Amino acid sequence: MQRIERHYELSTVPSAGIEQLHAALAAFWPEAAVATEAQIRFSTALAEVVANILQHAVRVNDAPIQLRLRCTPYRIEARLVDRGRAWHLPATTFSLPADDEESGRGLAIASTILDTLQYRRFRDLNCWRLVLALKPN
Amino acid sequence: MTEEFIRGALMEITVSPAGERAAVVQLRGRLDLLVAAEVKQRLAQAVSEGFRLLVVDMGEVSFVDSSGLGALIGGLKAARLAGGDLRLANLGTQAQAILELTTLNRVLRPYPNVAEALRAE
Repeated sequence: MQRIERHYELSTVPSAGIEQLHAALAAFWPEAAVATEAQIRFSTALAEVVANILQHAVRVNDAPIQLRLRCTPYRIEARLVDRGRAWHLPATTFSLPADDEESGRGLAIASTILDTLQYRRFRDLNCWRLVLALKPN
Repeated sequence: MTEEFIRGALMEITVSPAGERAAVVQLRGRLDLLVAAEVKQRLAQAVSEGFRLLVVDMGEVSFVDSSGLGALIGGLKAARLAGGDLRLANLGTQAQAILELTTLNRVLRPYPNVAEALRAE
């Protein structure tokens, strides 16, 4: 498998942004040709980060979220850039809430799945980097 | 495009009685943040209509996110408050994975099919 890189824009309107994310993944995975389990895990993590951005960072009139998906023989990587409000995230790992809580699991799920979940504020941009290492064949 | 159309395109919810106090809740589509509130409300409504055992048929759910899990937890709490239970059946690979990742399979017990979920003690 060669290196594959694709760029997508996701609307900051949640219904449209989520739809575009799933359409982007549906287009990307056949090209990337990674194992189904890795596709499922990475899609699950990415959807959680995008959902958090849509729910808590951007407003519907903001510029679209920029998504870059990249796949190499060694890793799947996503970079997300948005112009929403800055995040104040816990410095330590994200932990799952109690079983009866109905929210608060999104970033814990993403960080459990991923090898790297990184957030940086650069000027007025939120920059997320998600990496899932692929097992060698 | 109206909100109703968007939701309708993403998730269909069908509640069918399955015995005196049990109902099968069939979900079709993605169980995510866009439909979580509606799903939670429909599960609570089924409990308020007198159903004590809700079996959620996940066979046609293509994707579940943490908000979708939250809706199922909300339905489970409503059912248990009324002395009942909520069980999941026919989970796909992604739904099974997110349930295990969050260890919520301890409380939202998955069953291989609807019949076994209805029969279980």
